[in-house]
Amino acid sequence: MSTSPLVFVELVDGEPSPGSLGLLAVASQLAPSVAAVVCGSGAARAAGLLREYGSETTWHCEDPALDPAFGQPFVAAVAWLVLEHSLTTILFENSTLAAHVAGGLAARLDAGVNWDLESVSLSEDGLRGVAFGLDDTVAVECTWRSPLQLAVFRRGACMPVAKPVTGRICAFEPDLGQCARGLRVTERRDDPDLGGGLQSAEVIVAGGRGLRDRTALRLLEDLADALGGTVAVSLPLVDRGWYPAGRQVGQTGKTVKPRLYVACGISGALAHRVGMDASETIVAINTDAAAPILNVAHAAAIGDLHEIVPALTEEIRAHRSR
Amino acid sequence: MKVAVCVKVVPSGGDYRLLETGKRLDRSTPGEMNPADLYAVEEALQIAAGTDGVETAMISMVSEGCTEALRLGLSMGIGRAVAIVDPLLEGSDLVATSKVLARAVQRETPDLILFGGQSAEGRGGMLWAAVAERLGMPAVAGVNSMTLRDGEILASQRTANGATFVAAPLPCIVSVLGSAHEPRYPSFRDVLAAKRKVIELLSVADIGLRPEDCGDEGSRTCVVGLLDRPRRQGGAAIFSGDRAVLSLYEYLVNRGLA
Repeated sequence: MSTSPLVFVELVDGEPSPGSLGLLAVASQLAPSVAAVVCGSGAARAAGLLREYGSETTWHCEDPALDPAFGQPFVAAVAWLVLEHSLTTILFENSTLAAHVAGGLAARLDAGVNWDLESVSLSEDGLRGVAFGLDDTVAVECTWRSPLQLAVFRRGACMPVAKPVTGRICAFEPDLGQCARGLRVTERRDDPDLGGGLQSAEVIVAGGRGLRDRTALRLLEDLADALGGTVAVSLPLVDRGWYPAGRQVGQTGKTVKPRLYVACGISGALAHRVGMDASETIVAINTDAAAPILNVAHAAAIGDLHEIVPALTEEIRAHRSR
Repeated sequence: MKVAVCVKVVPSGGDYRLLETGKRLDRSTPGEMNPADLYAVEEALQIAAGTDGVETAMISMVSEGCTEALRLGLSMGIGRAVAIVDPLLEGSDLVATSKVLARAVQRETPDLILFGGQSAEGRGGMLWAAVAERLGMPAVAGVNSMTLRDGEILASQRTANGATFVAAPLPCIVSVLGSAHEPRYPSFRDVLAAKRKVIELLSVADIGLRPEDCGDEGSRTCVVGLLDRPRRQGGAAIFSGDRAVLSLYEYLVNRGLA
């Protein structure tokens, strides 16, 4: 590869997302030297950390227009780097912001974008990617036909690998364009979390739309307690105000990869599945045997969660006390 | 004021079949509107209901034989549909598709353009961003509720720890991610009324593009082939009936999970 692959690093609460760090490990398999770009508030500080994961050249920009609420200034910033440094490959981990940046760059720079990637490799004809498609039932090998290649990885596909290097850190000041003019944030609201730990939990019991009422969450908490895990929810329950946003798994929430994920009353809309489908074992408890969650589940109990969940909790506890 | 919703037609109920070449999805079945797009349709209807004189339209790049799937959106209440149907479009990737949709949107000159979340079979969720870039229009992503006030869109985005509230001037593009309003079920009367609504058919030439702008030639990615190692073989172990709980418990125990 003639130039260093560039990793788009996303900041979550001022820290590089684990997936972004994982991309640095993927990129280092492609070329001897890896570059990263990190934008927004806290970028300069994060740039230092990226050296611990193998970034030889890290560009950072803290222009206040680079607010993760809006993707377009990020498109402009990364496009500027691509043109200035003749970059040919950019790696992303899927998120709302990454999708915005990759989609915008594809249109702006006439660049091919492959997504839902699990891995990429270099062949004689250049970069190749492997993506799982159609609800993971097929593995597709794909390639690019443009000078600039955009590769968007599935969330949770790339794990960070520590690799300290003495890399360069460079601030850059791109022209961010006019596109996002008029867009503004009017308010930010942070819900207090219930103590965090969602992303490190080994077992997650998650609830969705199928929950009859707020008190049903208690049933999930009991099961989580019996399994030594914690409770998460899908977006509708956050919207209903039943649980804090920090507990949401999915496109606009957390990405999790526990040993066991129990999805209770969750139909499995894509926006939820992208946050959990890398879990080791997925169990669904659902009244609808045709729900999309069954396409990613390894096992499913068909029936009313309000009966199955407490019965399962009881079963686990009964055996344990024996 | 005009609100346009860009929608996709996908194979019904997740029934995906590949064409014999193995590289493309069989889109010859009638299909259904992408479930995630129904939330965008619903938001368009909510905005139309809350403001006088709002016109609504759907725009879709769709295979021949799939256009009737758009009747669902029309029966929910969208005024009319524009379908770009052309054999030249087959095999279009994001670069090509965004070119086509941007042209079709331009032709409608809407004040607000809505997209749904990820499509059920493609799960890219990037098209709206590419279209916004081509039209040079401000875009807001991942919106779960929105209102129109004083010629501005006020929207909320869910974030990992809460919510961000944003304001966007018109015209703008918004990608809707559920779930403030559940998509309505059309009544029988609505379904009948939708049969009389217009689905305008446009070709690639009609929107001023050349054959090389779309299809394989207009695309910047390609599928090399299928690999013989799916991640899943499909099909979960299903437990139902009286023994469901016990079977599930045993399943967990056998895997050292309970």
